[in-house]
Amino acid sequence: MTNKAADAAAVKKDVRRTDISKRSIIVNKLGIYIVVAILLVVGLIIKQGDYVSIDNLRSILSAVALTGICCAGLAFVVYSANFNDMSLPMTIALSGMMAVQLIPFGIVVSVLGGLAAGTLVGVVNGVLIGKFRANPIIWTLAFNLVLSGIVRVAWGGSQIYPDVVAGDSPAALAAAEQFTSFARTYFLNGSLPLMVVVMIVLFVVAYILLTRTKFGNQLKIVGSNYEVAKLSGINTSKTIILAYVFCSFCAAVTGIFYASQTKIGAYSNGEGYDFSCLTAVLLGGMMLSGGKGTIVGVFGGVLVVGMLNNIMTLIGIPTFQQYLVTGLVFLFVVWLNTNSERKLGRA
Amino acid sequence: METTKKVKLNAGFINDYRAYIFLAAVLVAGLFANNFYTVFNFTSIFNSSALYTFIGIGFTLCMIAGHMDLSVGYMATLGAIMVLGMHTLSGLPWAVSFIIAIGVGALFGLFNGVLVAKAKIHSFIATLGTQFVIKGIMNIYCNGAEISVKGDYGLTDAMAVTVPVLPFSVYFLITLATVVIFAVVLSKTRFGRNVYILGGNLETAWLAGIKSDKNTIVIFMLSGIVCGFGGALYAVYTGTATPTLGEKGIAPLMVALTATIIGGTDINGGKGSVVNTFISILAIVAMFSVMTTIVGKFEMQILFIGIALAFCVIYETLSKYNKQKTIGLRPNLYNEYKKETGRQRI
Amino acid sequence: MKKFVAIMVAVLMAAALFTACAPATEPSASTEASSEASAEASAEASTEASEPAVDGGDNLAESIEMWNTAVKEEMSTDNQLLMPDPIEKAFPERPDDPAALAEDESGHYYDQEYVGWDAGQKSDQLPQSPGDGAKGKHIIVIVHGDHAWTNANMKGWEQACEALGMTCEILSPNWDQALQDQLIDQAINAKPDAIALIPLSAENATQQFRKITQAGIPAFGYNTLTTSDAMPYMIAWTGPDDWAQMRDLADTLGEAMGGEGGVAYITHNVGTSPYYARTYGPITELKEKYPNIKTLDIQSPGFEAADVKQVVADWITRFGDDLNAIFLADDSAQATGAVDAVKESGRTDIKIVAAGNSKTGQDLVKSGDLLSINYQSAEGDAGLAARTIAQWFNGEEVLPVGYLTTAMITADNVDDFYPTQW
Repeated sequence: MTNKAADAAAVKKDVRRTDISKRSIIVNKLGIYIVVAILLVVGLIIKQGDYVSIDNLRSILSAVALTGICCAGLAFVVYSANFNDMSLPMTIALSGMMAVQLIPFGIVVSVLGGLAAGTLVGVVNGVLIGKFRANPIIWTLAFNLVLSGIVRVAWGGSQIYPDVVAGDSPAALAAAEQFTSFARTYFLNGSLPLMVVVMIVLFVVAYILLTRTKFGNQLKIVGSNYEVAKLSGINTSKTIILAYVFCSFCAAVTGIFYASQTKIGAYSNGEGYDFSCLTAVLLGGMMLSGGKGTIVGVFGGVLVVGMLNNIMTLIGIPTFQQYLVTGLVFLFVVWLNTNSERKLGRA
Repeated sequence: METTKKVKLNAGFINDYRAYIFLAAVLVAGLFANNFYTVFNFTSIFNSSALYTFIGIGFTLCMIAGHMDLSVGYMATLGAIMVLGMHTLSGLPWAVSFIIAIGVGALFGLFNGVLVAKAKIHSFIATLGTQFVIKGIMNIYCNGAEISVKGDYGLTDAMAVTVPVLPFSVYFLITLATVVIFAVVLSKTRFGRNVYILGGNLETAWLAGIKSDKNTIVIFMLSGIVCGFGGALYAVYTGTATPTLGEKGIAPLMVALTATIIGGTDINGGKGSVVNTFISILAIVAMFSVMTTIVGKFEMQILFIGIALAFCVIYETLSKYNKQKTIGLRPNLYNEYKKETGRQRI
Repeated sequence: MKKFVAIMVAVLMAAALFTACAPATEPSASTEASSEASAEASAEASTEASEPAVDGGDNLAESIEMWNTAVKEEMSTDNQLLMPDPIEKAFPERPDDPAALAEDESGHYYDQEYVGWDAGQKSDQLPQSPGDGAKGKHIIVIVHGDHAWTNANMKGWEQACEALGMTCEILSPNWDQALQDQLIDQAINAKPDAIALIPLSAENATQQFRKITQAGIPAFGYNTLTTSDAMPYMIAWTGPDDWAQMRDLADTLGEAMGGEGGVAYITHNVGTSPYYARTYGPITELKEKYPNIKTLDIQSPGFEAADVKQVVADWITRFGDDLNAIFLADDSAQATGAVDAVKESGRTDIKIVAAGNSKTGQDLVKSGDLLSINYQSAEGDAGLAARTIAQWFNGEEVLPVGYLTTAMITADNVDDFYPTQW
């Protein structure tokens, strides 16, 4: 008996904290919108009335529209635990160039051709990664290089202009005019650009896809635990292929708007979008481990990127200091996300 | 048992030595290029491969340990800027400038390591963020401008001195020595074995009593040190440091990553070798040289490096896919059964 | 099966590399022939090196004749002379210590603006002209990277070289400095008659030109300015006078603003030579001629239309009516972004000028959205370099620093410059 009592005494009391602090829950729930609120306050302090003016809001939103459209799709790839789609830059470039090249056949063919070319990239990525389980980063990177080579060889490294491609036929010239006007179409007395509308629509679509459909639910399981998903009878290849197709579709939309905005189809369109979009998605609380994060959060991440640049220019911070601030804010937010997830015992 | 030692030309062999096969293919193609087989050209190839090699070592090291260090390119650029900044702008002697450049690399390696090991941020994200930070700090330091040795070509020329007859410059010999040191450290020391175990299976590493946090931090610091040193050497060799070194063209990071994969390092960690990475880098640089002479167009180079990488990825993926299909099947038992009973089907 | 796949991969790899050789066999045969010819020529030249004035025979006479017609007759895509006479620049006195002057005084940038000021002191390692005529000479051109501008430039090289009887081979390092160093080694290894180079880095250029000169090959720099340290190691430098053009552009802007108001600047990549020329060129010029014009802000958002658009829109919010003009370092993506932002906010009274000469910029000038851009021929850049090289082979004196002819493109004369080069 004494031995047992001694043993019981020897077993230390478990002092590990099992309660979850309220702060962590709040941080986890609100996530990136805390940063949005902080930036809003900073903006209001430095620019008072002007900051929430329609002009400024439009400038913020239209500046992030291209990134935002892309992020709506990329979120699915990150969510499916496939890290990042490194072939985004060439998807954007390829769809833009195809769209510009097809302008002589009419605006409908041009846009559909651009979307199809971009989406095809997603199909290839999806099959290789979803079906054959290629490493997502390395494969998309390799494919990006291959595509880059193909696009450069096919167009001889030059850039193409919609009105030059259209030639002399009036119908084609009208189509070229229409094509370049995509990025310059506004609703509500010029206060709401078409690009922003498309971005919001795609985010709504993404939200519905991720939370209200079978595909979304399956993707969550695939992202959280691939083996479990497979064992529970989910068609994992199909789910991942769909995620990539949606991602590339969004990138193709970005590509068409990009070409329309710059009035140029070039292989360098979309350079750097692979990491800048990932930055926004991660800021929005998506976790690279997959299956965690929300589309609403990603939208917040996109907003933060826009607002941060906006405020830094308004204060007059030089470009180099902007890199530093962006990097530190990014690391801080990511740390905040990781930390709160860990405190909630989810990571 | 003798038969197992015999090297057979099978798929596994080709896969293990694909970096060498790639190099051989490029060398064969070199027969068709004008002036490819000259000492001068080989000196040029070796010298061009040096910067990529340093970055490749850092990248491979982290990848063996199961991490991705995306900041290697900027780390090297920072090393380049620091060494010339200290020597030309602050007038410090070369030795001190080098120590500072390496120290700054180690510092950012430490920063990465702490973010990954202590703050538990995924290395892919942490180093992505560090990239921005380094870019900002570096550009603030040099105001975005290039720094040159300002006519002080003493060390620059000393680095370019070549061994008589052979195409080895001092610069390349230092690179080679670094590769050898890292290869020995990885294969012969306890730390090296720990790196492989950490990458192979974190749980096993923990059970084996390896201090994973400490080791991870050291790995990132080593990556920072080797990149900082490589960048500093490159700056001295070319006599200039440019803050945009890691950005344009096929970024050094991409070359390092491609070489690491072609060299057979497992992206999930636990497998790989710096020597194979080094051989792949030589092959890639030699391929640039051959392609330039034969095709001339840059487009082709980018296409071919892509195809080479894509081939490796597809090959590896398919062989893994086939292995997955037969997992759980015991071919050895089946073979025994076949041998004993003489029947083909169970 | 696996073995088969593996062997197939290896074979395909090799086959792919070999097929890459196939299209190049024909041109390489011709280059071989020409390089043989040039090897003979240079062998002759070396025997005659002691007396370079000796006549090069028929080749020289033919070359000079070709040169004379080519310079007068060859036209670029936009119907301007491909190889016009270079402009020589007058150098003012150098201030004692440029670095001591303030950043908005023009003397501060003396060493960048008048980079060829001590071009007279050439290195004694520079090769002598063989003086046997440009015909049959082979040049290797190393550009900075792939871009639409580069394509136009390559076209200019091919046209000019054909007219001058030379052959050229163009190598591109795709903006990668390490690769450019490698290409220089390869170019030296190929032993051409001359190497023309756009250095990626102004500082590194010294080492690059030094290497070429030490290998005994005549080096010519073009397009991008180097530091003055590199000047002794090249025979000649040709290219656009960015500083003078930016000063002209600033004058156009200052006049249009009526000498009053605020200007904001969007720069080139910070630290590069166009960054200084296209930011501090106009700043110093406006300060001298129009002291009432204020500099509001300088930003470097890069070359993406969306980013530039945001910066300009932010400026309009931040400065309001104080912002009267914008100076851009690029007239394609930057101009598109800036014009869009100005139109969106309805502030079309803001005057925008941009450096460069692309189709986008020219179209924007034509539609009245840009006030002015500067004419800077991409083909002419190649033409001037080719002309100078041919002149040197013909044994004539060449200007150590020769600038491209230029003009301001405004709504009045924009139609003269169509169709655009890129």
